[in-house]
Amino acid sequence: MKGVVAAARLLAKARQSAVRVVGSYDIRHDPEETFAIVPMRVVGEEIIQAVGYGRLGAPPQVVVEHHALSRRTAFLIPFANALDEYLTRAVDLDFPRIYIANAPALELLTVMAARYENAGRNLNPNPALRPSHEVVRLGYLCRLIKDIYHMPGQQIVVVMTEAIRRHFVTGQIPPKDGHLGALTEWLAAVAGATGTQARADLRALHFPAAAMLSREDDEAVESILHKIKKSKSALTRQRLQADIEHLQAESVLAEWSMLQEAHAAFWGRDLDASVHPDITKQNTSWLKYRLEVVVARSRRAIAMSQRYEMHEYHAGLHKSALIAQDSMRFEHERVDGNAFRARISAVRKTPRGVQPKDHQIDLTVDHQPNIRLRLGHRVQIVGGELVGEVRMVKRTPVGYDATLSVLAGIDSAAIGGPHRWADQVPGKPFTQKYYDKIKSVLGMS
Amino acid sequence: MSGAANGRITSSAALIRTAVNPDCDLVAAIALEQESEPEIYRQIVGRKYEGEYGIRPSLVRRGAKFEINNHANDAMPLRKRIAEAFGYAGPEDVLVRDLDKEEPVSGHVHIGNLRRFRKTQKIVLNAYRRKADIPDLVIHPTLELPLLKAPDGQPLIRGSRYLNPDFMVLHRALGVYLIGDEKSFIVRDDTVVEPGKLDQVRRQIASGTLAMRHELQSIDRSAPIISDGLLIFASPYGLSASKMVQENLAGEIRQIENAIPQLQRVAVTLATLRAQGLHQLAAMAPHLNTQLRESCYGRCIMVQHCEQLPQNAAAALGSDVQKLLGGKTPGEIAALAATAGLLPRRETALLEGIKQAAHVLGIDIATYLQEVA
Repeated sequence: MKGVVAAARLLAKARQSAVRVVGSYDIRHDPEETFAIVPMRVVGEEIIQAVGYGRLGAPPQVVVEHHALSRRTAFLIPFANALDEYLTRAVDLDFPRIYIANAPALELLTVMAARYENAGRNLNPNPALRPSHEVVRLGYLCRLIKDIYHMPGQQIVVVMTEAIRRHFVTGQIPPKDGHLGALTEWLAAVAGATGTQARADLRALHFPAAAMLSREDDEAVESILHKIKKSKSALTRQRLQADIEHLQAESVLAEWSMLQEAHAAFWGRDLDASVHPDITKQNTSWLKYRLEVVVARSRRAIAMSQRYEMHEYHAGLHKSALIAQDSMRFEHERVDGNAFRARISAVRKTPRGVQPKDHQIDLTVDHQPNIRLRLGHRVQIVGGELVGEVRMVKRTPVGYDATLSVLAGIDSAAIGGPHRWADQVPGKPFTQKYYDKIKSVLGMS
Repeated sequence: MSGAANGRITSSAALIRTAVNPDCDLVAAIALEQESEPEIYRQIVGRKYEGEYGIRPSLVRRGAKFEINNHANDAMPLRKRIAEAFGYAGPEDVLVRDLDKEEPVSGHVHIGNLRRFRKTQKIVLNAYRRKADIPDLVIHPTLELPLLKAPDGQPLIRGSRYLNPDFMVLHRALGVYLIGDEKSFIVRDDTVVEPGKLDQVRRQIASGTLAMRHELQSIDRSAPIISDGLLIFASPYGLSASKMVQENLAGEIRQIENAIPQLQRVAVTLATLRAQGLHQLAAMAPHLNTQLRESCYGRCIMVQHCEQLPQNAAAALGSDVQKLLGGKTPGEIAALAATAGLLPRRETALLEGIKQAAHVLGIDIATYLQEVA
């Protein structure tokens, strides 16, 4: 994968335009209504000073706190209500989609999650500093957003910089790819464009990459805050406060427009659509339940191991689905040795009535530099039913020969090919099967 | 881009930067010359540096406030954390000396530093000889790195060769002090929220620890060799100190040690160039090696200059591209591909890797090489 990305980077530099490294999106197209969050922090403080939120494609609602270090949180209430309303509405319609500009913005929401949820549990002795129940709820919602984001293949939270980097490679050095504006320049440029690198550098130079005010605005806010402290006139203080709020809102609007631009450029490229009904449904029902019932963070061993099991399951499911729908992704896996092309050269079925059954097939595997076929490894024809466990593998002058014990789909085994093979699609973990059974008994969807 | 308000970098910053990229002569030269970085940029590139330079005021304020909080009330918050980490009965048992109060550095910085350094030396010596009433915590000691000298014995860096760690804590069993640093980075669930910043801090403590090693060696050749450093970070709730962390920094200390000969080597190169009549760093720059790395981004002001240099064309696209090209230019790779007959094994492997990558991207190798060459 690294070699492919490096080769794509060289090509992107030559073309002065981002190059796709996969053939299809790994997230579904947007539902009818999306929600974007653009938070701004105080540099070094991990404290939020402004948030832009609302439907992507429309002007955002902006809430600001001119003196964020005061720990006042009331300004966040409209944002908390809007997010709660959106999620509650979206889980019943189709599925929610939340856009966040970059990884530092998501990190900021994570810090908010810990801070405001805890503030609800451990009440501040000073009533003036206690957050309202809406803000405590906002902490909880931010935790849900963070938890969903870390689920493999999740379809709800999109961190724009990361989504772009999973699909496209730019012609600049990787550390520069953290800047959404610079990434968008590469993404929006057509092959053969000129000056993309210079334009991207210029954007990165004048706009910070990490959910914060620009240096000039930040210094202006610091200086105005100093003046407010010294001012004795309420009117002057009010005017100065408005100045800060204007600077904060301007920064939010600039980042909002950058996010919109990136969103349009991302979905405007020629990748195939993604199909992920299973994972989307599971993400949505997971979220819906937690919106109705406040679920504490899993700290017990059983709950945590269930979570890890589901994590593994989703990771395997997501990877299999992507390989099946996208030949470019299959080739990536092939280069890394996780997938291969092989033809079936012989099928040996156990005769009827003989026990134990051990159907076997022989494979002739095409040559590839890396291959991960090991004894006991379970592989499956991509998009097919035939599953086998490796019993023997040996190198030949033109590739490999392998023998598999067939675990499923022997009826579909026939001499021929070549077929695309990859890791076995994982089965549902026991816990999920158990919940599904209960749901079907209770007549729940 | 970090940097002091006057654009000059401190001795410890010079060491750290050279340690991070020991193959780059330019970064070592900037550190040695002690000129303003934006000014050097302007002289070499021919225009003003337009990016963000220096630490933001809000960050400076936060760091200063964190230190003030920790040092308040005879450093009681810090003593509490030391008592927990080193098994004292309580913070009252931790004896403290604040050299900031005893020897404030004002007026002539060098003389102030020298006075504080003498005091630190005495404290270290007494602790090693296990004398009575030795402080367990020393705030803002001053140490010297004697190795920061050129082969002719002159100071290697034009500015101060003194290092000023935030604090040092007595390791009672060994009778030596461990160097510590206070950073206002937030720690959540025992993990620093922004781990990327830790590299710099570790190297900063490593340079202080190295100076302490030299101090101990000057007292006793068989003194224990310390490799541990102490870190104090902020909790997510206000600017209070979270628990103290003790880390082994042997790797970082080794890097700093390696940076010193590099600084000495570049000092000799600069002296040679001066003898040839070149006095400005801008005039010397074309004669100095540059080594662009991914780690230069966000750290070195000269990055925009270095990525324009022809020898850094592959490095300006990252280490993976450098690896893919194996030290050759795309043009040379295209010429190799056009070569009839057998190629050496290394070149064959190189071509095979590119061919495979081009295949995944859906382009045949000839078209690919034509485009990138």
